[in-house]
Amino acid sequence: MDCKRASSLIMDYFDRNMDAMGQRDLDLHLKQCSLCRRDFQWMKEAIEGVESIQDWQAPEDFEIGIFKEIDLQYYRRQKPIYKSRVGMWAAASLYFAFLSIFFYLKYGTMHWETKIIALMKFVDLGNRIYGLWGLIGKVFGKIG
Amino acid sequence: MATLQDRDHKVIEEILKGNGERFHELIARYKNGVYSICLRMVKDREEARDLAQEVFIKAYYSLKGYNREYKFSTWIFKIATNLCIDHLRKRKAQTLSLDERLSMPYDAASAESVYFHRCNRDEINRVIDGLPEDYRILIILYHKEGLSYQDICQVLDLPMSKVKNRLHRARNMLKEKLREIKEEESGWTAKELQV
Repeated sequence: MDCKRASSLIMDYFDRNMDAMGQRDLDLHLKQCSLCRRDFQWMKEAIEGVESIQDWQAPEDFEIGIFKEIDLQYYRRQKPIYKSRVGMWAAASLYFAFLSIFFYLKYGTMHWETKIIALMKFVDLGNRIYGLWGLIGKVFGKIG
Repeated sequence: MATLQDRDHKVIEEILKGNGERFHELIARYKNGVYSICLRMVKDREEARDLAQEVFIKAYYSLKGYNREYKFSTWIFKIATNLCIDHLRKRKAQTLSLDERLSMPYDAASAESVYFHRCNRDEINRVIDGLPEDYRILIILYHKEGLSYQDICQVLDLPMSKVKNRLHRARNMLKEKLREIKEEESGWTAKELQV
């Protein structure tokens, strides 16, 4: 086994992801290769050192600083998202249901010619409102 | 028996129902880990404390967006890492001057330490601090905080291959750094002993 392969096995070793065959091959290589053996020892010491150091202790007033900044009632005041969304969808559905019933009762039972005339009147009304809106915009624009 | 993850999720549920006081349980559980990450990244106690507190404040107000598929520790370490990286980018952290090094908690230089072999803990801390920040965070998250590769990918938003390659490089740097420090110290001690 060459040193490149050994280097890869060393990484597997520190990943704790080594099978029995890999372990055997690595042990054999380390017995024979002083360079790899030395590298392995240094890396083992470094990594075991990292794993053994304790966490730094947070300062004593650490929590106090956090609780000064957060609002403990924040989530109590929040409406649950699912409730407000359900309410919103329910209201929208009811609105469209009523609107549909209204339009059906008003226009659904008409003769088809009357329907077309009603539609044209509606479109014409829409155009008039649009024109009026434009006029208002011009007037306010001039004043502004 | 409830796992740590289950207990964290239960506490979060309580907080979202309006019991904000329960947040102190999460702080107590993770404050040292978060503070350690911040201190190792920014190398300044005051800044580390402020950053670590900011991590928890941000986490508190983001609890609604917390995805329970992931461990809470992974999530909060992700917030900590991102805040530290942003902070370092703003500050453009340089290597510490000698004066600053002396103010670090592990580096109380005294006459005795000239003659005696320095505590291994100090050496390891110096070695970690000497790594570039991208590699330092990997060593801390994997070998110190015990996160898996998968967790680290989530924390750093990096693909698995990149995390593995970088960690391997970080280990090599760690090893070389330790060797340099030990050789430097043994040469230094030998010189003093000659005197």
